[in-house]
Amino acid sequence: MGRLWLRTLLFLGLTAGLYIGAFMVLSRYGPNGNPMIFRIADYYKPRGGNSWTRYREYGPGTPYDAIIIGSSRAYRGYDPAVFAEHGYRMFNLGSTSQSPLNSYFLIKHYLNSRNAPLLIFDVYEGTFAGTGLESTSDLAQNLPNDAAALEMAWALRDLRGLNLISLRFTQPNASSYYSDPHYKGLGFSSRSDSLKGSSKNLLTTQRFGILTN
Amino acid sequence: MLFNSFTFLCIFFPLVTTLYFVVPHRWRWLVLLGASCWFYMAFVPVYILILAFTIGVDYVAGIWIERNEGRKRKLLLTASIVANVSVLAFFKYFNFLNESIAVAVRGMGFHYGVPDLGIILPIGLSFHTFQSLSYTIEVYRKHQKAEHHFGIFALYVMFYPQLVAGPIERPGNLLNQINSSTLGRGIRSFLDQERVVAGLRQMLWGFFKKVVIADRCAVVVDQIYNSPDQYGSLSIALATFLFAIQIYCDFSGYTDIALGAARVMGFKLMVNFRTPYRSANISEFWSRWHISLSSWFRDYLYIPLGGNRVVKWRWYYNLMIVFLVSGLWHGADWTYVIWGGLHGSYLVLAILFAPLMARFSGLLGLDGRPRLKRALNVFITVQLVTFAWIFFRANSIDDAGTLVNRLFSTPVSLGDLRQLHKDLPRSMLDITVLLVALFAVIDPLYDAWIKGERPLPTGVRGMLPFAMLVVGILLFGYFGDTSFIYFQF
Repeated sequence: MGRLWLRTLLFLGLTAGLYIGAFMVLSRYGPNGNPMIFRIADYYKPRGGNSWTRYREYGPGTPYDAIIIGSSRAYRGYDPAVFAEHGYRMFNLGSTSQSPLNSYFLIKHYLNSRNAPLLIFDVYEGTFAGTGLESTSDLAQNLPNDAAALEMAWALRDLRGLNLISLRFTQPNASSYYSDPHYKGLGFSSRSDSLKGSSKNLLTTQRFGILTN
Repeated sequence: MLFNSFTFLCIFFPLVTTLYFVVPHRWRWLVLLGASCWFYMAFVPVYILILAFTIGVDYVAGIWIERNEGRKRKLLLTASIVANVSVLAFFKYFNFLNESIAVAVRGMGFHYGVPDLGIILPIGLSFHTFQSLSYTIEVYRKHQKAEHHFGIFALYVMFYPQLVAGPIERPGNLLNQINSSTLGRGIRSFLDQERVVAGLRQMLWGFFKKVVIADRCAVVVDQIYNSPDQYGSLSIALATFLFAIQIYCDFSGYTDIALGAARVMGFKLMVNFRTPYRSANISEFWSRWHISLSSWFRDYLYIPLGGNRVVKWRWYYNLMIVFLVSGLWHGADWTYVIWGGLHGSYLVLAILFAPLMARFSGLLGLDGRPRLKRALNVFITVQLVTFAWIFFRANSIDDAGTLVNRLFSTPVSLGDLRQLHKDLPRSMLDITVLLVALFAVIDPLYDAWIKGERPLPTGVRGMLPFAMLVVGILLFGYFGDTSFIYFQF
């Protein structure tokens, strides 16, 4: 029995070593300067874009009249600037393909009764059908709040989510790889930032690299 | 509950295995039976009643068959077969039959108003029905004693590792293993380190095949097979070859997990696959693919029909019947019937043209070069099997027709592949093709290690190939909403 435990420990150690080695190589090297880690699974999304800017612009201590959450339909559909013209202070916390599970973690970590007396939850049926990976790959990379990112990645129950969170913590100082020129502020973006849409081209024109502050 | 789910991996399997080794031998059957009920009821709980019916009927039938002789014995076997096949027919084939009649009647201009059954097909129905049938048939043939312990018999039908997708076990193997005990009713197996490690290795190899190869291939295959009129010959050919790999990895992956989980607990289930795409003819393919089903059909249908010990036309007829029924066993759709029919036709044509092929082979000088001859035969067999998979995978007869038509009529164009690449998630196509190529190289090696046909290096060098599988799963695993293909049968 003791030998079985010893063999198990040895196997786990060997696996961990191989995984860390492979992960380091894949997250640093790849064709055309693009780390392979971004290519080996669906919707792997590098840090950056409107989510990077949005969640850094948002201040949880600032009181708003309403907060909007939901998918790209939300962050492209509700422009807080329009509401501001009518005297309402709003912020759009929508993100790409935001899954209901990830909306839950956003609410848990970013909202309270003082900063958001009204929550507008834009529901898009597509986000109920998907795996939630696209949403988690975006938020796990871009949220400034480590706990929220970790909980989202864990709740996905998908190893790709854990790889993403590993990437976040193994490169803690990496900054945004790209920016969304269509981001207007207060969480609103006038154009798709989905990998399936226009930003796919936008991403390929960027040169990837390990950028550190 | 899926083998590749968090619940199975992190809760069910460790808990059941631990309990199994902790409780006294005489209660182990109860632990496994309870676990099997939990496993099955995770899908549609109420369907456990269907299993209970099958178990109840065959338990009683087995005992009565053993007690009787002559005509009554045969009558009891017939009753058991009718009861089992009726359940299968009702749940699996009613809608198919009803739709087929509706099409025919409406085609003649009449009204037809019998509605379909609005039910979900019970998971693994064909598997456990055939497994239970094999018991009554074996008791009838006096190859097996009737099981008098209801719980043990129920466990034979319900044993969770192979409950929903096989291998379709025989009582001579599984039931006797469940019964092996020196202290009353119980299962005698001990925590053997080598056996546990070998079982876990086999499970790991199964997971790798499922989540790294099969589920990735599925993304590409689904893209094309769900929009058959959007793609040209190159994409369709690629998708069909990937489906051949997908279904092999999906089903043999499931089997490896089942065999591995059973092996950990000391059970040796039958081998279901032997690198089938290395077969040199269709007959060999069926001796390497889904062996538990093909041997079931051989023993309980083909041989009773007369097998090959009959006049030639009758032999061909027997082959066609077996493969058409095999097609229908897989699914209640004409696509499966055509798939089975194609395989039956391949076998009949191979017999008919055997003398001609032998002369042709002699003319080409292949007889003196057996390795080249085998390689050519393997290549041809893979093409034939892959072509038949089109009908197995197509969503409908119309789709299959479209795919076959476009496969042979559209020009070969790289633009077609570029379009496919664009339609899929980023890098999915390149990485899938690379992983499949790697799999083709490593499959025979791992298969031989798992089956013990090739010795594993000792120490860390022996651990390394399996540590690499874990890393492969961690980095390249696809974890979408994926079930196992054969669950639906």
